[in-house]
Amino acid sequence: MADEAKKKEILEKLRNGVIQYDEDTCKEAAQEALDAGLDANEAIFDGLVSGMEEVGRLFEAQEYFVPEILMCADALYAGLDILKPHCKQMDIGVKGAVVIGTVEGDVHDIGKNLVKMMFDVAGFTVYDLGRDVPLDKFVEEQLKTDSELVCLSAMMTTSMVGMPKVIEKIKEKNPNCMIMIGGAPTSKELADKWGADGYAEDASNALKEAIKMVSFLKKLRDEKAARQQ
Amino acid sequence: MMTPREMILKAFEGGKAERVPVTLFGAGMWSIKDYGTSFEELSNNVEKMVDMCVTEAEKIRSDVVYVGSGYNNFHALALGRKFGAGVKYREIGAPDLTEHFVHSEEDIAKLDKSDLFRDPVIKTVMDATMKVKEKIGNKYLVTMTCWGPFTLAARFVGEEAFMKYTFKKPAFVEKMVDFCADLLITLYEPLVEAGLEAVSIADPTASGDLINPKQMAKFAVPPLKKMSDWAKAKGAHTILHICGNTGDRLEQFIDTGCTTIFFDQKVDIARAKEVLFGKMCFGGNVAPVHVLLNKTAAEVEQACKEVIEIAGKDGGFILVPGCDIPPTITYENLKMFHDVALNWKY
Repeated sequence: MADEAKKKEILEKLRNGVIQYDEDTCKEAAQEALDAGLDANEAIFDGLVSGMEEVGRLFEAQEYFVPEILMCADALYAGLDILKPHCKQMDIGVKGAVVIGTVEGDVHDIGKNLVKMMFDVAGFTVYDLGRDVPLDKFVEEQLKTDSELVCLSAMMTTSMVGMPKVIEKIKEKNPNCMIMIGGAPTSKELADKWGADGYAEDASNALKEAIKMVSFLKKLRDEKAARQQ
Repeated sequence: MMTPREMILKAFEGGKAERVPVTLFGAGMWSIKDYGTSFEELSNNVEKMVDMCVTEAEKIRSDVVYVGSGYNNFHALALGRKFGAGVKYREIGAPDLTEHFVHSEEDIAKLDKSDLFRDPVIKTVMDATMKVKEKIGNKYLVTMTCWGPFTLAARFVGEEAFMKYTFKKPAFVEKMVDFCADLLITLYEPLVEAGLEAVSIADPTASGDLINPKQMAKFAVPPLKKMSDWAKAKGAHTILHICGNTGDRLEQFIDTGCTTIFFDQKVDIARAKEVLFGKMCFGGNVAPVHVLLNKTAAEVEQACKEVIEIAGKDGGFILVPGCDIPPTITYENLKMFHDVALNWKY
């Protein structure tokens, strides 16, 4: 086990690599983490994700915008690619599988990709349907994979009108499936009206919502760890 | 009595017309649905496109009539066909580009601007624009729509990569947006020479929610300025819409040199007036989904009146939705939106 000071230094380096969108630093720090015998899950959550949480804050404070976030995401993935193969299966009592995509008629997928990243980080199995996804494809994929969560994204007032149809069809076939919608034209009001369980109004919000889920998982993990001690 | 065209031109000058000028922005999808046709059907039928525009103009009663709304992607597509790019039509929504095909400065050098005029759909839209102008151009301000240079450039390159390139390859981004400004000037040149009075520019990828103010100043404003300088020299107006909250960069709209800016509903319109009144005509910003789609006509009336009370009483203002509208808005709400302005005498 690495000594505490070294561990702290590596986690800080991972975190800063993400915040400063520096892929090389993230790669380097991820390798150092493995070499020093750090737990890969810990390096991901307390290093990379911790950095992304700060990025989310900077985005909300309008210091960072989407290009910066995309660069940060690249840095995060650079570290994640190295760490992930060394992750222990996260047995946290939550089976996480999510179907995600941008609805038919809409090719805007930046927000969707950012949310997907957070699910990747959290160890969810992600079924990414991409963009401009035919509405029935969401329903089919949910049934096929028995995913607990479906995330629908739309960036245009004209494309979001497909969302309620998907929600209705999925809920009809599988009432327990949670559905999160997101994108600029959507609203909490619309999510409620259409029967969605969660909502994110923009990339920042989506990120925040996704981080909330990850943080929730983190909490479960910590609680479980505490119980085991 | 002033015509709708004269009303809007008066607002462009910063003045007060007989009533508050009013227009939708684009509205291609709503009009096509209401007329009962499709983007694909109109794409090779000038007469039908003209009839749709004229019929819907008289029904909607916006002061501005936009030809080509929803066909903006063809301006990139026309140059990309030889590189494998295609078009995807769909039941609802505007046709999309299937490929991004510019990845480097060398790729820019391979593009041929004159491909614009070899594209049959662009030809249809251009011909329709001038025919609509012939038919109703005395009454309404007729314009043709396009993406702003930043948005168009991102269509060529791919939005996500383009966003990253603003950091990783800034020189490439600058070159690409400048190329797009030139491309759009090339596109409008024959129309403006033939008397088109306004160029309508949507620049959603330069949204205040997407890029930071410095990036907007560096990459989005200069090519818009190039277009507006050109238009001004030819005696044409430029109508600009940028999505998102641009409240932290309002001064930059003056730097674009555009005739008018239509604000997203996220912008504090009182603040926008403080910054722009007397310097630049502006429009805004009734929420297209939250209000126009989801509220009753009475609530729409209330929302429109509020915007006019806050920002429109001194002229130099146009009542506009915060963005293009969903095709599912009721005619009743759209009618109410227009009625408020049409009945608002200064």
